[in-house]
Amino acid sequence: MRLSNLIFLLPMLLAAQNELLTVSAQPVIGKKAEPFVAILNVQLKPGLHANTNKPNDELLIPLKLTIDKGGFDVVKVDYPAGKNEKYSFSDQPLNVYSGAFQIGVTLKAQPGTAAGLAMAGGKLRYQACSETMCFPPKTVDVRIAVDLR
Amino acid sequence: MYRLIFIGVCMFGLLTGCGSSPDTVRAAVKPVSTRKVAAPFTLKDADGKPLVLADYKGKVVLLNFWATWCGPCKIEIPWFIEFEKTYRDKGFAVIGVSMDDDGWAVVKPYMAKAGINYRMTIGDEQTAMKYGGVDSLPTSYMIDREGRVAAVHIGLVSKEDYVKDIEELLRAAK
Repeated sequence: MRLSNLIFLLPMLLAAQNELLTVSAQPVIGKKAEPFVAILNVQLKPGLHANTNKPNDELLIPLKLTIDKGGFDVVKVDYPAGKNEKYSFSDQPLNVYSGAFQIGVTLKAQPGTAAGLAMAGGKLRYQACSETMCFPPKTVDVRIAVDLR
Repeated sequence: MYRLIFIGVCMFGLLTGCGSSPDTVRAAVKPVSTRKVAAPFTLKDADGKPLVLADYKGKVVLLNFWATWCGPCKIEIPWFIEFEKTYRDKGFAVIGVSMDDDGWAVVKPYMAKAGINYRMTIGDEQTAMKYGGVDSLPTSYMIDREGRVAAVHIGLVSKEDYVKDIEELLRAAK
């Protein structure tokens, strides 16, 4: 690899370094009239935790996946079970994610979606904290490559 | 060859940098000569009255950016309630700036539950930008009697750190 090519990668690496959470999706094969499952691989920056979809406190902002682009409907989202962690600022344990985890999303092609390669798109909204600070709610783009047959 | 090794080391540094979690920043009180004027703002308080930062000139102010969804922020709030009681008559005030998107609908009930005794307002993007964007919470600014930023605390710091700052700034000549 040439030096000039590596220099072009630097901004991407620096951007990735600043992300609190990254998400990637494995390409998936789906049949037109049937629901199919896509898996999202989510990685939180070390030292951080994010609220699960049901964080045990109404004031906390839950992690939420929406898919609204590319001609697909969401049949269901399977959020993994988080870990109950007790923090000094909360009376009850909070349900949180840390490290790497997977979200399963069952999709179904809308009637007008053409067969072939498609891209289901949406957002993952989350709110992350460390032991000593919290970050405002953020959303990351989610793209799922679908081979629709 | 050496160039490739150098690039490899740089890449390793960048990638391992991904593993570092954000750290609390506790800045000591700055010397007077290096302090900058706190950005002015006017926002509505919980009673709908204008909260004008400039009106606090002559007082030491703890300006705290927080949110109801921020756990570490809630550890500090009882300290701030105590500071307001202890130091109010000595020329000190706490101002809370909530960064909740849902505004007073969530902040007022929380204020009542926590027994918050200091003035509160709802922050907006414009105010946050004046204070560097407030990328993480809690973020607190210690403002001296002349309206200058004397210290900034990003993330949860100890109660003793706040007490030290407040007492040092209150000791300064009026």
